[in-house]
Amino acid sequence: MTPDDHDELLEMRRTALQSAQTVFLVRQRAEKEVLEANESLEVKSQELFRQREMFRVTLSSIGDAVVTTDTEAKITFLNPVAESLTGWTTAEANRLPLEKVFKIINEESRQLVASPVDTVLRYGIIVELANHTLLVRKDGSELAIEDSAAPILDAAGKICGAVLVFHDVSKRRAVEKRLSENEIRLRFLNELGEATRPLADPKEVMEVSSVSLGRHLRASRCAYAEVDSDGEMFTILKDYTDGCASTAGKYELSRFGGAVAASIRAAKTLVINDVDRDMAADDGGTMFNAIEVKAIVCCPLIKDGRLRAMMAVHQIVPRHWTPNEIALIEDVVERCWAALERARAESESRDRAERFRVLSEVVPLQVWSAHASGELDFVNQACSLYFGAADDSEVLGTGWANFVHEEDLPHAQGVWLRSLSTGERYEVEFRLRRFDGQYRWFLVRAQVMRDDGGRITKWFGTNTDIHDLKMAQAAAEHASRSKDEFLAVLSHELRTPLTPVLLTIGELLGDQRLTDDIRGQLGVVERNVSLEAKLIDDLLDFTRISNGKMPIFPKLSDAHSLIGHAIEIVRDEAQSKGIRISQEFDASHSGLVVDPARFQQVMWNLLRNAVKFTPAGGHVHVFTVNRNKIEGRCSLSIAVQDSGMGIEPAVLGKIFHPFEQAGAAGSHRFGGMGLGLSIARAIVEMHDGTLIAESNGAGKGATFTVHFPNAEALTATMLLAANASDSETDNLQQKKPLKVVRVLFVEDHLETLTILSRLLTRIGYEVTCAGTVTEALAAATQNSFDIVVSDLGLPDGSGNELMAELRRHYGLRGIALTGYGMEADVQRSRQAGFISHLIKPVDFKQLRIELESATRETQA
Amino acid sequence: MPRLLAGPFRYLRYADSYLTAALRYAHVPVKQAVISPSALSLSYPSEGMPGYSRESFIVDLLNEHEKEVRLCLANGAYKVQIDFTEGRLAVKLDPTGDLLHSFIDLNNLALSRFSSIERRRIGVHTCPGGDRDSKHSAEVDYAELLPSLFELKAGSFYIALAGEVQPVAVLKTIRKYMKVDQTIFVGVIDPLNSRIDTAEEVRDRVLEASEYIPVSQLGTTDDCGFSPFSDDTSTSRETAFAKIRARVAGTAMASAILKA
Repeated sequence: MTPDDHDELLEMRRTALQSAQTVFLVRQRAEKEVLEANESLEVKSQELFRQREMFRVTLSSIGDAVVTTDTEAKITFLNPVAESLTGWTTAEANRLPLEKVFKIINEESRQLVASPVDTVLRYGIIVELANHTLLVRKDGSELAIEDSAAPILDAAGKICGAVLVFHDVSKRRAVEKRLSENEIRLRFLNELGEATRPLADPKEVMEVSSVSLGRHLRASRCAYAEVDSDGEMFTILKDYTDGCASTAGKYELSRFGGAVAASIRAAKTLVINDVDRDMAADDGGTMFNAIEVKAIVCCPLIKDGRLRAMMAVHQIVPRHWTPNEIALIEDVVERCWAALERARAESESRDRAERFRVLSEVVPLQVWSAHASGELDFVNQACSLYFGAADDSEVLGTGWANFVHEEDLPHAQGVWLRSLSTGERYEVEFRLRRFDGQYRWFLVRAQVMRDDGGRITKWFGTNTDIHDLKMAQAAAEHASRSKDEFLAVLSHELRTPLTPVLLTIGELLGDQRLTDDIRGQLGVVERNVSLEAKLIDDLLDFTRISNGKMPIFPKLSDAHSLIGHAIEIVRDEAQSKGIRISQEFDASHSGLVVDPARFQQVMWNLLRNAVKFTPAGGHVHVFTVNRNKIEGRCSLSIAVQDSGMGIEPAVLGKIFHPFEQAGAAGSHRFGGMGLGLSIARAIVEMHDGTLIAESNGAGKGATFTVHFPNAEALTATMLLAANASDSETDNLQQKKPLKVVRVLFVEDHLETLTILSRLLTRIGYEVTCAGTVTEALAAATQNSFDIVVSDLGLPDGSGNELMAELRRHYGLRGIALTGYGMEADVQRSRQAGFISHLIKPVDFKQLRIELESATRETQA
Repeated sequence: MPRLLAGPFRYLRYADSYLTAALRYAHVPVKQAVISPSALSLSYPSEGMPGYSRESFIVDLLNEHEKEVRLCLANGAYKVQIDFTEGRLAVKLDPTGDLLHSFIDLNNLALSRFSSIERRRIGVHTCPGGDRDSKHSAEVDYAELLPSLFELKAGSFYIALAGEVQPVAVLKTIRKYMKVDQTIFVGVIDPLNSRIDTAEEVRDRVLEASEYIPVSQLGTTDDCGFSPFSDDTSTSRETAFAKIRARVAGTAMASAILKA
């Protein structure tokens, strides 16, 4: 070794030793890093283990089968579902090639199908298995599956295995198969329905049904047979055949064997897969062989307990009929029957429609029909001719509305719509435009037609021309209204002059300076004027009753008290004729719900009638009695019996007719218009009572009996209340005005104005007179009044208008005093503001009562 | 020994370039030799380098070595052999063993960067040196080297044996310290001896080695290289190939015997 070499070695040694320290440090650091890396690795290993465990548990928990493989397609894991589906355990399958455990074949071709994992491992893509794949399990059984496979990639994205996921779709596949079969079946039935729906001829329905079913089932023969009512003979009109002869003809069911006939009659579908094998020759086999049948399905149709039809499907070779095929045949026979029934029903319907059309053309009416929706679908010729439409379509549907008068259309349509929704009978009168433009009134009626379920199916209607009748009716009503108006004016004009006469007589009779003779003559005048007033009242009442406009104001009243008042009214007249009036009130139940004034009017009429027809020295007896007492209630009969001239039996039935009297026609021996009894009976009947007349003949007197079905006993309190109005009236008569009452008295009849103002002034009223509306309004501007008493028919206006004006400006109350006594007149005066309506000739006592009542309310 | 003049430390050429050239001609697996980190660590100046610490140098050195080995493995080397000639020299330079242990540590740091599978393809070669037909540490007893040598995390060990004076003693030491996952390739050809060994001699050396090393862990090699860079022409090309043929034939002969 040279010195240089030695130095070199020393240098190397020095360098190496110095490096050793550094290496030591580097090693320490490296070891530390390794240690940390190991610790980290340990943590990650644990995490990895946990994740793997979680992954394993997860895979075990999911509902799908999961198999994992390595890169060589060798199995590394099966979850429990995969074990269950394949039949292999994880231990058995571990490291085995996938195709051994996961053997799959095509359901249709039965050929082996390559595992999707092969493709996954080769190309690294996700693969889904083709449809219709069967898994061949370890025990050889097969299972319909659906699966997919995906690569397992490591962190670097490199394939490190594959995961195969699959699940059992056997149930779903079975459901799909059933659905598919059902769909085919339903589609066929639908097509059959479409094919038979337009057919009108039952024979065509049978033929189409047989042909369609035969072709669908690829049968040798298919026939629909209708069974006679004896249930034995059946007829095949036409059948479908393919490679065999037709069996159209008439047959006896029993010739096909007892067992077959029994089965058919028991509504059991006959299913024979092989005639030679399944049927004895002497029990149908020979017969079926004779018509070349080796397999048959025969489905009977039983309706209303009777064999009606059969659908038979034949095959000339043995055939295994599936449940679906049998069910389809059963469906078809039902539908075929329904189609036949529909065809027959439609045929009948067409017949009925034709009959209806013919009938509608022969009746002298306009006839039409409409759908349930209300749209017209038919009009007869009478309709078409009336409307003169170029085409019925102008009237059909809703076109008819165009012919209805515009004033009538809303009502006509409104009622029509209501009938359509409720099914109520339609009956409306409205005008329809004729072809010449004239509108004529029609009574339009429609009646609904319903099906078995109660649903509206149709409307049938008629239009009856009532135009002429309507016009006549309108004319009559107009005439009636004219008559009423005439009567109202007449009564006003007749009454008005009577007022001052009666008032003057009343005033004179109070004059003590006059002699008795003059008084007697004045009495005659007063009675005759009163009679005239009564005649006018009767005429008005009769008019009211005729028009059904007589108002009644029922209240509980004491019949005995009211009869007593009536007796008192006629007592003077009776006494003057030497007629005795007696009374016998035996009825304990004298309470009646009646209009007291009208009831009293009835009794007064009967009493006056009795007095009138009873000669001097005669006797009138009034008595009451209760009958039919039940539970505290009973009827009340009031009889007015006289000893007068009696009534001939032949006349008895007519005495209640207006303008009839018991005496000889036209004699008018007793005066009056013969309206009293007619009015009395009408009033009684308005109170649900009856009025009858009895007589034993001429010269034997008569009895008039009023009968009310409901009477009640009156307590003392009720009696007091029932008679209150009368008592009040009496009290009022005695009262004086609390202070001077200022009356504006408006009357164009000067005498009436003069006398009444004098009488009112005499009893303490301060009266200002006016003869016209203008004078009255002028007086009202100059003076204050407490009340106005006014006539209605004034020269320069209506009393109603005056009242409205005075009420509006001065708040005045008023009493109408008029000859207009019709119900409409009373209503109008009330509307104008009058609180009371007095009819001339005025009973001064009544006027005074009304005045005091009105002014007392005002003063209060 | 060359000296590093400036950092950072980088290889100008990696051994895989030679491997690529060799593979174009080779019809048998090729083992590629690379220099060990421990040998190159001696190039850093003892006095240090301003701005480039020894530690930085060591890290760079390890990175470069790892890169070179991986390139060779990736480019088709059947084996990569790390020449650890300085191991035996380290014992000579530092009889305390510290230097050797330092070399072992440094090389293990490099080997630790490879997986166990990769390390099965990495071997370590040791010899007393042979440049220009001279040995730098023939006097160092293998017994002082081998216990540490087998601590290296390599799968194969290429140990010069043919030139040893007492091969049996060496074999005994090998048997004592080798591990079950290590394959021992014993040197059966001495490149420094110009005499061409016979196949029988080689066979006998193998058979002798097989008495101490399990056959499944036994392989043969030349004690050292034949200067493939032609930087040492003391052994002719013909001699070298003749000696190699003898190794192959002798090994085959021994193998036939041992299999029987």
